[in-house]
Amino acid sequence: MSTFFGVQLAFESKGREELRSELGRTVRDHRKSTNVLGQRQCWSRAAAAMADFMPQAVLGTWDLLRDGGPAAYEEWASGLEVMAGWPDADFGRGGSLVLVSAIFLVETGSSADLTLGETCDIAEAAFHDRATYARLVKVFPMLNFTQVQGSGLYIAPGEGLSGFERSVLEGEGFEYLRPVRG
Amino acid sequence: MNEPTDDFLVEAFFDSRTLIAVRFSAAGLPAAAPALTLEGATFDTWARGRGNDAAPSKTRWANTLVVVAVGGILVSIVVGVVNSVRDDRAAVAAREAASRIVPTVQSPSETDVDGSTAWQAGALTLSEDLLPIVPDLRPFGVRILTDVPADAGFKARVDGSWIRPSVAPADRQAHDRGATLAESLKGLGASRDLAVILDLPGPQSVAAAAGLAGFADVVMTMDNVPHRRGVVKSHETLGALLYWRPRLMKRPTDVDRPVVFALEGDRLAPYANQQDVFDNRSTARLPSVEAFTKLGVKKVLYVRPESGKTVEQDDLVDLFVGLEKAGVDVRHLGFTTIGSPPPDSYVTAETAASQPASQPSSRRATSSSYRSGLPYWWLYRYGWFGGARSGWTDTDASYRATQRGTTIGGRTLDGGASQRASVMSGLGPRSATSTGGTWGRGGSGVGS
Repeated sequence: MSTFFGVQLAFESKGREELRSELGRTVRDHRKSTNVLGQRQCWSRAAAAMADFMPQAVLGTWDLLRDGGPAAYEEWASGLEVMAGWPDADFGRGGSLVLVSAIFLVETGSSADLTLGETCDIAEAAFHDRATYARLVKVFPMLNFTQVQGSGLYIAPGEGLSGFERSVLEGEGFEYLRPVRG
Repeated sequence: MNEPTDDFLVEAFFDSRTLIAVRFSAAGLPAAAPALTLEGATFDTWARGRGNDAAPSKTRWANTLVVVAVGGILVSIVVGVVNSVRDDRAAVAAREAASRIVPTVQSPSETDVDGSTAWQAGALTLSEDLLPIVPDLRPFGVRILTDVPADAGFKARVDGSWIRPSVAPADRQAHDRGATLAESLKGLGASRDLAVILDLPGPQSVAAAAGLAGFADVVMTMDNVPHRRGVVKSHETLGALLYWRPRLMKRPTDVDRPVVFALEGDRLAPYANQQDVFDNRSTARLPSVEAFTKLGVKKVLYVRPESGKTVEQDDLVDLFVGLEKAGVDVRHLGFTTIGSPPPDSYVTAETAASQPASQPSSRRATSSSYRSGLPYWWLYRYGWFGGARSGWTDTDASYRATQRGTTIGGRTLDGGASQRASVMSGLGPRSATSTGGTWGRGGSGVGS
């Protein structure tokens, strides 16, 4: 049994280009972080960057699934990785939104799972509050990585494009994204 | 990509214009998502997206990927790509993007060897079509590659697909050599106690097996999964299987015929943890020593591309040494030797051995007449089928397997269920569960 946890946020990068570059460096630097300590460092950096830029978050979603965790993980990973093949036009024109996604698959019932459960114990009315997202991203490095079965960090688009046009992330295929409040 | 002692493996890495990403999985666990690597290029995987065949999706996330784990080896299958587009222009762009993600077949053919386009339907039953005629041999067939068309959800609509017949000039030549070998073995009365192991580049192994198929019982053992950036170009081997399928389906009417094991000769192609290359290598999967002897095999003809280069591939050392110890002769045959004229030294030696020394030299056989009179010299030299009178030998004929250190151990099959290569069966494409732009909501905590 595995639990899935995923967070996706669209950040306004205009004037804050360092978000993408910092997260890009994190991905590249931690490509070889294949031990528990390296994983914690990787996710600490990612969480710090996302928390720092939380004021720029405009759209978001998150999930914690204890049923069907592996399938959800697969769907998120697959859906995100297919973006590597998107034509430029699919990102819209002249956009400046950067979509950052973090996904985890942890052992159900483990301390990592309990940590996620406690973190995600949030009133429904506050699901999409900025403070909620800040709380969620801070949990990344708090996980016991010996109980993490899989994880992924995604930044789209890459540094070759300016960003998503907002209408794209508010349109078909991204209906699940909600405005970040507060 | 990683040391075995690592806690995590990098399952995917992207650093391209449209995506920067890394995905890890805990070492020792099956990955929960496809294993992909991509750097500065387009989305990279091995199976063709269903494109316009797929039902319209509500989201662009739908119709994406399915993952299967194959005997501890991870395999990724794409069952669909972006097909939810907002206008025709975007649809064209999406299709163009999809076309870049599949392997490229170098020598495609519109038809199979018989000039038929009916290969599309046959692709779906490839594994069953290529079953050996002798039931005892069937457990040793490896279906990993031959199951790919069916498992990828391959349908009759194939335009633009990489799953298609292919044939190169070298393959045709290999087929002819295979047919010559069959004719020669038939002429010499070869029977079930002979096993021929074709260890040639995949398409040529397939083509040679097709040449032998009418005479011998063929067992396909290709164990490499296609990938556009694969170390092993097994999509070309699959193309050869589709091209030569009608010939491969020819069965000997007499079960007391040699058996042919067709290997992917490039299965151990060099790989040095390159980030932009997909490691789809494998080790040979052949019967164990005990299984060979149980099958009644007493002679093994190991066919490699070149004469004189007699070192067996690393994954076969243990098996061949074991066979020799069990009293099974293992001999080397350079593929290009098949049908070739005998070397002058052979002619001289055999002529001297077969004719009285007092015979006038003018009446001795010349090289050219010897060719027509003794076309099987390359089989006689092993001492089988009567053997050469002179005892003449060369590097191929004197080959004997010897134990040596290798970095790769071989895998053998016991003919039982424990190692049956059927793990991909039944793992076809599935529909994504995304609905209304969400990802399978439910469970204890939901953020939207």
